[in-house]
Amino acid sequence: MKKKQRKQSKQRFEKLASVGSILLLILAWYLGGLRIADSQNGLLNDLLADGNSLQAISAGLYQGHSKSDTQASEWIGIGSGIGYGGPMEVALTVSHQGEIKRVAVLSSKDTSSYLEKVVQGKLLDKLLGQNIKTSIYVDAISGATLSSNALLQATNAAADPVRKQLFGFTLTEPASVILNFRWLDIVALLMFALAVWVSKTRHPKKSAFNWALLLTSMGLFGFYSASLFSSSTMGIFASGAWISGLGNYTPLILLLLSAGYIIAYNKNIYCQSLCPFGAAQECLAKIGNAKATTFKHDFFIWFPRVILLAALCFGGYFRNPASFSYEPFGIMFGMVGSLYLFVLTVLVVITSLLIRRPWCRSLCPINAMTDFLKFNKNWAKQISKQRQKSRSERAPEGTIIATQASATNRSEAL
Amino acid sequence: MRKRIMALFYMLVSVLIFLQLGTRLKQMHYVQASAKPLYLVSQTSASAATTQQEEQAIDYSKWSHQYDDQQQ
Repeated sequence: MKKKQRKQSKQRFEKLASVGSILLLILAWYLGGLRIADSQNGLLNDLLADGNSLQAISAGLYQGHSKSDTQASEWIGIGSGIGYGGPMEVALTVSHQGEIKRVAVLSSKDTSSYLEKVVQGKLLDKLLGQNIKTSIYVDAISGATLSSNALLQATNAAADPVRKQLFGFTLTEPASVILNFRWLDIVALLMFALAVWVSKTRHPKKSAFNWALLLTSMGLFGFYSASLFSSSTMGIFASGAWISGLGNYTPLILLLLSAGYIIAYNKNIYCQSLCPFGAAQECLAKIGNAKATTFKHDFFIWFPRVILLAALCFGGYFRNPASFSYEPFGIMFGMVGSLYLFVLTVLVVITSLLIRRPWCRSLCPINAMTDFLKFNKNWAKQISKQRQKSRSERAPEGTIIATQASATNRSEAL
Repeated sequence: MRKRIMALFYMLVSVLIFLQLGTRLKQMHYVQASAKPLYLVSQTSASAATTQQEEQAIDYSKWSHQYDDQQQ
């Protein structure tokens, strides 16, 4: 009796936590919207190089005047490009002759470490002094290609309204979202289909197939493109940043396929057959002959969930989910990330030699996502069952007998 | 033994994740509070860097004058 009561109260708590987490995410997103409206006003004044006052001419175009002179001394254009996590907004201050005098990144949804790499690679400095009469081009920073391309795309888009005003022509065409789809996205679909087949097959070499998939995934989605999905992909999906386009769709495709499969079949095949980081840990476990260990206390189940929820809420509030990513994937597959994540990656690598998949068994956010999806699916199933039951109870006895009789006839006919 | 290693790993990783999220939160809050662009570079600062380089460069003409004076 006590066990039943405890189970019921646990279920009630889980339901409350599920609804509460959704409400918390919505609240963070709403409050973030209010913050943007507050902070946008003062932002443009920093972009004036010589002028003292700013006047809006059209959407994305401002004119700077010095107080003594009535003629425009400089122009400010605003444009956006599509980066890893969504649009990146750039403002350019351009002289009357069309020379770029100032470049500012107003907002970005890319992972901060990648954007920092672009800035440290002096990409912004290389833009200074260029004339907007021709298309602006500088070489991308290797290891941060998506952020570099987004910045360049945004710079050209920002130059366009000024170009139109000063010289009467534009050079940039609006970027198509479809153009960002790559061959790797199709490979992701194929690999997922193969993973489904491997999970279902009873072939004697099933384990070898799984290893082949894991290693291919580690090479392609790990070391080649660093396109594995993480908490930031979940944030990008939840916040709707993908609607305006993404620089890389592969993580989102993998996330949607995995989540869809979990909802349909209650099984997470991404971690089992496709996760590049899981594959790396498995390889290290083979080297060190490591064995699995897990903690069963409730704290170890709830702690990763709370961390994921906090990261998603922060990402939603600041409209930058990629900045609050806390996984070691960036360091492992691209050596990009903060010092804390570097230490974390080293810890995971060392522990993987002794314990099988330590990251997966501790704080990986994919476990929390899987639990959330499974719980809500079962809850929805439970509700629909209860509804069906109450409907059949409400129906008159004759109807039930008639339905049963027709069902018997149908089965006999078959 | 394995349980102990895992417990230690869990603890250290949790601390690192808290530090990572805390740092990012602080950075983002600072950007929001300052109402300034994320990154800003201007030609004046770039030219200032160039001037400094010119000042630090060896002035061969000055040296040649000094050499001529010594010779005389």
